Amino acid sequence: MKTYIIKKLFIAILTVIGVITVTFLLLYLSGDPVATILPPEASAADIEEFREKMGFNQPIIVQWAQFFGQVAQFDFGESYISKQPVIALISDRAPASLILTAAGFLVSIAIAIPLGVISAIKRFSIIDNIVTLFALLGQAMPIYWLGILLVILFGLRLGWLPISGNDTPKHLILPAITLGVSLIPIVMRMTRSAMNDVLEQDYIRTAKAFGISKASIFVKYGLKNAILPVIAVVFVQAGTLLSGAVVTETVFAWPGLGRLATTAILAGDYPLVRALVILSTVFVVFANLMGDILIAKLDARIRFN
Amino acid sequence: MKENLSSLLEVRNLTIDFHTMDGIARAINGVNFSLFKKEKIGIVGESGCGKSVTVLGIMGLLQKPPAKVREGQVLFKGRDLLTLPEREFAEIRGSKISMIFQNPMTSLNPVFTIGNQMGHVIRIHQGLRKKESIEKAIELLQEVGIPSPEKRIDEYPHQLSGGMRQRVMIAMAISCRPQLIIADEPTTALDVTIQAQIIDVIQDIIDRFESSLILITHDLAVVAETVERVLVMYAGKIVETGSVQELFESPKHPYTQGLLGWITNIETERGKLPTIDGMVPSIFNLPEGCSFSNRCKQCIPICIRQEPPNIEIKPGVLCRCWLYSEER
Repeated sequence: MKTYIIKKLFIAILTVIGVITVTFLLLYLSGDPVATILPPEASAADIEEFREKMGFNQPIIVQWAQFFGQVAQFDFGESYISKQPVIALISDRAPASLILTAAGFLVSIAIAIPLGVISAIKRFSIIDNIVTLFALLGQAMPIYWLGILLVILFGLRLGWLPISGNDTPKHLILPAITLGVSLIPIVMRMTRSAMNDVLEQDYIRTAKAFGISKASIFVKYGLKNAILPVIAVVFVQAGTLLSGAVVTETVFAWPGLGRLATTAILAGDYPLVRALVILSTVFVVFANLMGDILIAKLDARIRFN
Repeated sequence: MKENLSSLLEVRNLTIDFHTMDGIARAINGVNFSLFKKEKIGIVGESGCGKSVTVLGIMGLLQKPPAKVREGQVLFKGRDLLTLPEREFAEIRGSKISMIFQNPMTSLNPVFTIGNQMGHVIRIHQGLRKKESIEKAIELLQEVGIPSPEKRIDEYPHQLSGGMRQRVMIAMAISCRPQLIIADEPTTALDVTIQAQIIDVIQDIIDRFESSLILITHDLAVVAETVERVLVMYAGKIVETGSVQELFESPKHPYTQGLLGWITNIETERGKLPTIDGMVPSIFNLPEGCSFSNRCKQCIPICIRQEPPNIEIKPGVLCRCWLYSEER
């Protein structure tokens, strides 16, 4: 188990280094930052001095090393717009985003896995068809559209729930559902197919042959096996969840990182965008690592290699 | 009448179809046999003849659909298992009747330890507490000859060899001292060297617990040394029934004669191995007469027109063949 985690951790770190490098190269290739930062009327001497000061005239490898050193210390520079340290802006908004992402994740798991299991047990029945149709709808529906529909129905028509901001726990309900629904179809279909597969295995027949009850077979013997590929898929979907969060936060004026990212991109606030890109990737890589560890915890075959 | 009293299992006219996309496959066509207490019988026949489907049908383990029991009764101590409510049937499975499967590699759940799986079975049938059930499981592993069972109990199936896994299956099967053990090709997936050991273990526990045994195999040598009576199956029917001795010394049905030809001739002849010419008829389209008629060297006109009756040639020896009928 230890070697397994160390191996996975090593791969995760390599991935993060790769992402930081790619981000750096993309920015390097995207043009002269001086032109963006300094006003157009700046003199040639000013530009030269600024270049010297920022290190833009150093060889690329030195710039990369500097950039890397800064990132390693969580120093992402200052926002062009608000002139505040980027890391302060991010840590300000991060909690709201984490809450929304976690809530969306829980909503999707809590709905998708039971539906997937039911659909597998009652394969090709009416319930299965309805659930599959529901999944298809969920997958075809753009997340912002669903968000708007929910706002219209529960916010405006019925007036049950607040539609923007994050002042009370009640504010979380609509955004969490919107975000959660975006993940339901894939988790549900994965659960269904994994469960179908598992229920045809010999060990399920063995369990039945030894008088183990259906409920036990489905939940204990079936789901524990079927959940493994589901976990693998769910944690890979961390990225989808994150991009879903960007849209959801915009629709519901949720003050999280997603909205920060949207405004930063629109305003051309490169240090902020760069930091958000890097941190998002780290989040996704970390989520995958968590998934790998969870699978190893549940499946002895992986744990013992 | 006396036989009826001591009969443990009676299968009457069991008929099972599979409803598939290609039509209805007639897998089992009126299987009749009975099994007495402490009796050991073997079911032999080539792949696809319905041996496994018969016992899975008895255990109620067939996936329905596609499988469908069209007719028949499975009387276990007088009660028809096929009409039993699922809950009551589940109580019998694993406690009164238990089953050992063909492939030990895939028959144990990969995400639970041996102790976990065995313990669960012991608890649901015997109402023991967790700790007691694990102690019981360790005892059982000892009984089937697994070295240092207290260590093995915490291991996962993939950490054990095929032979060890099959021993675990056997230990699980005997955990509630069943009156009937069904072993569906218990050695087919194992190494030849391990096969004999597993057969020894099965024989040993059957004798010690005084259970009855249904052994499915296509290994005639295993049949000869393990069971008392043999059913020969062909295309979903039992074509011959008799004691092991009777069957090996004087096989009655032309199919059985062909089967035994494979072993007896090897010692005397060199060159090409004897075979039964022709193909098994498709179970989607069984012939009107005898299913074996198209391959039978002793085929007579009536064999093609009409299904042969089950003829009692002498007490305990039954054969489904026109050659032994006076009506032909």
